[in-house]
Amino acid sequence: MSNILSVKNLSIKKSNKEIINIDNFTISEGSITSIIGENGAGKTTFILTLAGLLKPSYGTIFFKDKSIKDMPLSEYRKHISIVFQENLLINDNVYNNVALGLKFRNLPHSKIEKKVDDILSRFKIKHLKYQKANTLSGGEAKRVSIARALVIEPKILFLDEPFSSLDSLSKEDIITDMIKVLKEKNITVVMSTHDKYEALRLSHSIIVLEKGKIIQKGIKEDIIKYPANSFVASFVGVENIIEGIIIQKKSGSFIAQVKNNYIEGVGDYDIGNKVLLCIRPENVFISKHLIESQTSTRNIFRGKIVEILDFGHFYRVTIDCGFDLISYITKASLIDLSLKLNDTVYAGFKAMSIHTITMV
Amino acid sequence: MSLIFLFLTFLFSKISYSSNKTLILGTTTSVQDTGFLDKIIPVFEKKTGYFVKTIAVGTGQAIALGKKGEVDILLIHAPEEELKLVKEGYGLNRKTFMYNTFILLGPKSNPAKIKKDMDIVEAFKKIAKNRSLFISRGDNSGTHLKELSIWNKIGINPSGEKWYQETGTGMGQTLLIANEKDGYTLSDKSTYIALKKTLINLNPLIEHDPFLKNYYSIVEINPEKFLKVNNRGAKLFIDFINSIEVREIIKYYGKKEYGEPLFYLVDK
Amino acid sequence: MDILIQSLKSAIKLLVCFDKDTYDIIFLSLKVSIFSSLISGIIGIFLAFVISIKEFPLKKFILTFINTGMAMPPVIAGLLITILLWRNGILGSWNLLYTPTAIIIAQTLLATPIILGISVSAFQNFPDKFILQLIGLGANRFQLLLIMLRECKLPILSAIMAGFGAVISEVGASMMVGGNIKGYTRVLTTATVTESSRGNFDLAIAYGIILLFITLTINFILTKIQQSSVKRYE
Repeated sequence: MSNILSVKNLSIKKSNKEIINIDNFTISEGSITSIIGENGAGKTTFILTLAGLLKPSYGTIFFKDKSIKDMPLSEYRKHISIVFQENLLINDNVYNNVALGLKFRNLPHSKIEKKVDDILSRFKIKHLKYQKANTLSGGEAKRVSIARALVIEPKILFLDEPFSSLDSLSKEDIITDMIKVLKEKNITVVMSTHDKYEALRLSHSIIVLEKGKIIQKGIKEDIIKYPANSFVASFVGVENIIEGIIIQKKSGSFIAQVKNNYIEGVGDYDIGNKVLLCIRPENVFISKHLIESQTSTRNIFRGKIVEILDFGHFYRVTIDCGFDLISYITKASLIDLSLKLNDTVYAGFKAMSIHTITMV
Repeated sequence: MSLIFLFLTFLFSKISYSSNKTLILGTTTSVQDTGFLDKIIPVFEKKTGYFVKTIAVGTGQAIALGKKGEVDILLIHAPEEELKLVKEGYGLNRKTFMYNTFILLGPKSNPAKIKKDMDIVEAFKKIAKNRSLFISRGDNSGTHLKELSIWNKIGINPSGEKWYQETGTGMGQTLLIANEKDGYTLSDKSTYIALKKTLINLNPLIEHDPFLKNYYSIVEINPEKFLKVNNRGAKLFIDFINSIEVREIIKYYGKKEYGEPLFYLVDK
Repeated sequence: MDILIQSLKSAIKLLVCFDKDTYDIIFLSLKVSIFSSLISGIIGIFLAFVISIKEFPLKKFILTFINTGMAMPPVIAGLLITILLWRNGILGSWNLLYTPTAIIIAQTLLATPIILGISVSAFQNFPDKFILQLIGLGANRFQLLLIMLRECKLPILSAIMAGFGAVISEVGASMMVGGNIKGYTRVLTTATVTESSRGNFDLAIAYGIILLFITLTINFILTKIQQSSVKRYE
């Protein structure tokens, strides 16, 4: 894959305070990159700068290995598009909103109509074509906003916290529709988000931003597996992200195979689907003996304690049950159970506490 | 940007009046308020094809405009100032062509006890002595200058006195204020006659003192001083004012409406 | 009281019988003031747009200045334009003093700060992110201005109407630069002054009524506009 966007020695100052300082990174064509970080980490500023909407104080942005300083800004902007958290629709009907970017490019009417109609059907909002923007529901408005950005078929789509104001149901739906268009038109995506699930589900690469600086960048799996420091670890936070394949489907629940173990979870997923099973470490409990009466807990694994870390107000215990399970327990529990390194224990979690995400 | 430019071109295309067919006449509000100019100017415009812009301001301002060459001709009533204008070389061919009279008006109660057969100087003395309310125009107009020359004669400077109030407005307005406040005031007769029916609290007191004659003159502005002055038009206007046609108009102007003419002709 | 009723009667008669002189004055007033508020609108909105989207030094100061110094006293505008247009003055060769055009220029000077002030605050209420969104979709400056005008059309409209309301009821500048020439530059306000000082109260009141009618209509529309704020989807 060739590089479509790269950055060298980027610095952005606001009233003489440096808020972004990035030495370099590259984004390859057709990929989805998430920029994650806490509120105030500089994600939006970073996105706006990459999109050519904010001028960096110094440094260079390369579009296809050509500095955007060496081309008219309007030339670069032709190839990009942007969606914000707010839908920012004009006071007009859906058609005129979606057509905006095409009208800005002075396309002939017939061509605009064709392209708009096509994107409206792809986002399942063709029936809303002549409806006023201010009468739309939140999900519909978001569809319009994304359709408007994609109808111009940009080379790069920038998304700034695009889904944070949506409920998860409409979010899933919109993401599915969007991904189809992105793949078909080979559109590169740079997205900022503070939602780790969103980042994990969508992206190939992740850039972790803290106080305006990149503290880690790389492909998703590496970031999850090898958080560079405790910030990334706590940000990625999930701790237990277990890759599995659905092998059995019941009504409302499933069984996934993880290496030689089987994990039972809740939800409808098709057999053969690759999934990520996310379990928060505080939901993983440890006991010395198998207690049969715990019927609601279907997932209990025998393993060996391989690591105990003192985090001050709690302990982080890693148990090797064929796959690693991490548990947070209080100091009191640790003493009660008198847990030591290399002890054999039973670790378990409720099916309900698994967050399952399908892999793209 | 181009839109603004278009607008401006459109705007300025309206000013196609050739300035040599435009005559700017500087005059005073009191002249304008008599309606006399509305009567004669359309006749002049029809006759000569000129467009006359009548700028009615206070006498002081009219003279100042003359001295700056902003008007082509003046029609005013302030003889001393006119003579000075000519002497300084700004004015030419001053021609006094009509007069009316100034008139001292006072409230019905007449607190200064002014009698009709007094001369104006005596009347002013009584007003000052009695400290009766006097409403002055205070706008450097011909009427105001006349009033000041009377105060000057008796050696009084009333400016700043409590009983002496300056309105700073035109004659009509000043008369209305005097009427409302029960004050004395000096007015030109024509404005008074025109407004007479609304001035129910004011009585005419002194008008036959020869000192109260109010002479109207026209003065050309010297074209040698100002390149842009339209002297041809000014000369045409003077000829017009002296024509039998205008003299007939002056003779009878206002007679039908008010029972007496507003102006009297000055012999040629 | 008698005078008032009498005058009111003849005023209504003048209006109902379509007195030519009266209607000439009304139309001139409307024409001049509409013209000047439109020109002020173009200048004011353009400046407001530039001020809103550009970053430049002293921007905060200039905004404060615009917001506080919105009103220029009419007589000062009149004086300034008179001095400029004197035929021996800087722009004397244009021969504009004592013409309707001169009134338009003076009124434009009066209305522009008013329109600029209201437009600037209208544009400032337009979210910065929305501007970025439009540029991000490929809008050039002109396209951006058009969209912003459409989105802010009510406050912009009320800005122009406020400018119109100010200039049509203004007397000082029109008197000075127009010269109050009968049938040429005599507008409603100067005619009202002239006729009342001549004691023609019926005419003065007739003009007054018309002026009142026009300004009341404007205020009515302005209030309506302010009440009907359309919600945008954000």
